[in-house]
Amino acid sequence: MFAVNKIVENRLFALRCPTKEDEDSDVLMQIFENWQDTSYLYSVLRKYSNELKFYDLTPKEAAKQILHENNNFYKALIEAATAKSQEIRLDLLFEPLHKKENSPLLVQVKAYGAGSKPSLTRIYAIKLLDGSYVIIGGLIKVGKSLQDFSEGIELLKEIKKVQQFLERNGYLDAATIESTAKQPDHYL
Amino acid sequence: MSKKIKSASEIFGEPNESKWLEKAIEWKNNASWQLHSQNIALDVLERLDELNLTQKELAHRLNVTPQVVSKWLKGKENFSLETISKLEIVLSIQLIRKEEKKLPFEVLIGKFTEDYVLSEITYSTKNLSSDSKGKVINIGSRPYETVSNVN
Repeated sequence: MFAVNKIVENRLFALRCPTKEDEDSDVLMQIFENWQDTSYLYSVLRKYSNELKFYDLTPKEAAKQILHENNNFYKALIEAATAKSQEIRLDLLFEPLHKKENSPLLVQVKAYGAGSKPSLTRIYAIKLLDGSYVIIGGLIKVGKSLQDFSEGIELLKEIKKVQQFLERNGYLDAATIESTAKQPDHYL
Repeated sequence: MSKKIKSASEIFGEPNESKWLEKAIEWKNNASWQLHSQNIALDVLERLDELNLTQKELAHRLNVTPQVVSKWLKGKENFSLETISKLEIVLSIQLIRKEEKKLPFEVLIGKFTEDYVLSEITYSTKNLSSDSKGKVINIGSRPYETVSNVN
């Protein structure tokens, strides 16, 4: 059973995931707090020092890049959450994932890389048929695909669970996936 | 006949209000100094690695508790100059660097203080001419109004 917290009225939600400190916490809160915490960022990135060499980055440089690329996303979300009208379109923030990687209903936050550098973070959401989004999780992506590292595999499992939950509740089936894939903007 | 499209609350139940927005607005209001704090924290973390020094050992050398060091390294501490100097001495590192580049006057008196984080400003506007006064200029990805009564 999944529950959600509201981020933007009727348009953006985040999966609730209680912690010891806060039973009302959600995935966006956790992503936000972890990715602003330099100690957390450095310890995660240090673990991937070898992979980061591919990007020509040290753990410190990678942490700085993550802080930079997330600033833009948070500012856009704050604008969307505080806007009186619905003029800020969330579909400008999210983009469909590559068809091969996951279900066409799955979307990710558009990458905010620093200059020519590829983005190191990913936030994943499911787009519902009414056009609203539910954030499922996020990660620091150091491998080529999610299957390449443990955090990616865990996130894929979580995405699968949400998809199965939607299927069990009669919300998601092959037909809706197919129609959404063909007309990604139909419900915006 | 087509089926009614369910909303998120019909699928997941009535949502609670996320505390994210409150936290994010607080972050935005403190972003300019907090970025400095995060940069200092990252410099210290890297230096600890280089020196093979633990946070506990650093705490001992500075005569503070490990909890205090842990809080500093999260990048949310409004460091005093005294603390920065002590860290510089103990770690043989320079944490404050004099920035030689100067921001163009138009940027400093524009909407900079409203919501802009210093690190995002590119120096593409460095050579703004007097013609740019009163016009909208692009700094990075955002437009900024310059002030028309600049002498």
